[in-house]
Amino acid sequence: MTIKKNITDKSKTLKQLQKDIEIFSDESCSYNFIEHWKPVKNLKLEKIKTDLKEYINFDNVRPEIDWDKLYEYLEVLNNSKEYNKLFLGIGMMGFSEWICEAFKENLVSNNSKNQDSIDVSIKNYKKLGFEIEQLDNDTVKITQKRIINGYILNRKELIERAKKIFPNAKILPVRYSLDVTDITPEWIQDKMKEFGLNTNDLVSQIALDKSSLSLFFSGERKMNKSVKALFFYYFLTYELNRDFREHLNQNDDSGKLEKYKFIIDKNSSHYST
Amino acid sequence: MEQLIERVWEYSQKNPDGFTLNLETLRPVKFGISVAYLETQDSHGIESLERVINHALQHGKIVGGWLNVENGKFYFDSVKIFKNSEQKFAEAFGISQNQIAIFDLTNLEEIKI
Repeated sequence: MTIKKNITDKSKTLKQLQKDIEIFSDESCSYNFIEHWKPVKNLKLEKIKTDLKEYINFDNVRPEIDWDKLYEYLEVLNNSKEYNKLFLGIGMMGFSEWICEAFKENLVSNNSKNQDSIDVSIKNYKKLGFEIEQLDNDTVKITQKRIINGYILNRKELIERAKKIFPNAKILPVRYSLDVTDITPEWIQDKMKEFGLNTNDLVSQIALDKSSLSLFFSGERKMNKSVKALFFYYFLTYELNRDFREHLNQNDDSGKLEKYKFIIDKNSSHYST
Repeated sequence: MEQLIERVWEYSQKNPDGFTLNLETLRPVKFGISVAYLETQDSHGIESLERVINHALQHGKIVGGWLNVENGKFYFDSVKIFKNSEQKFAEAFGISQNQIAIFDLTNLEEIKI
């Protein structure tokens, strides 16, 4: 790493430098730079301080600067992935390119690791039926594409999921939308067979008359989207009911002593029942 | 056994993103917390299924399949299912099985341990 110890523009105070960046942002970007001054959680100030102090003792070089504020500022920019602004901002603050280089190596390396971890998280969510898409630096779209294990997430839950990967982004949640093309008379009859239901059960439980059901099953009358959705969620209720009861009964049958034997074997007082 | 291997393999082909399957009912397990056994760790490919199924038949009869998105390999595990209210036991069991994470099927969430 090259470190050039030539700090330029020493005369500017931190306040002046912030103002410069504010002006620059207003003039050159459609982005309000100053918004990123608001405090954010989980700042890794100590890490940045430690890294910086490895290169130079700033307190001796520029005592007029509020270094804590500066570290916080840089961290906010880094967290918001405004790398160009981060490096430009540092440059404008008068620290010139040497500090940019020092930061660049550390931050880009950290953020490259972060990006890898984000990519893995997005792929893992995709396996669970959620598509997560970064629309721009600030906005992330999350769409529930499939229902896994009968779990349909609401808007708030979708936002919470996306926030786990992008805590500072604005989240655009897209709820699950049922594709009814696979709901055919054959599909319905298969499901009736699976759950041991007959036409009379359907007549009683979903308020469709027998003649309509016959017309649907024979194909003489086409089912509209609402009717198809009705069948889908009706059978999903049966499926979840069956599987949930099975799950509870299985656990009850397994016996606690056998189940927690591993804890007794391990003599683990921390987890002991 | 061969038939069971074939059924599980077919099921994995239809569910390439992962699954948790009850070998008795051949239906997916939708609830609870799934913890993999150490004995069947690193099992991938159809050739590993016999060992995994054998283990599962003796320990709860549940087989899990999951895609590791980092290396693209599909792994099979014999797994133990805990109720969600028993999460601390599931975590303890996971630790005893050298696992770094367990999976909450009910809430579709990985739990790092």
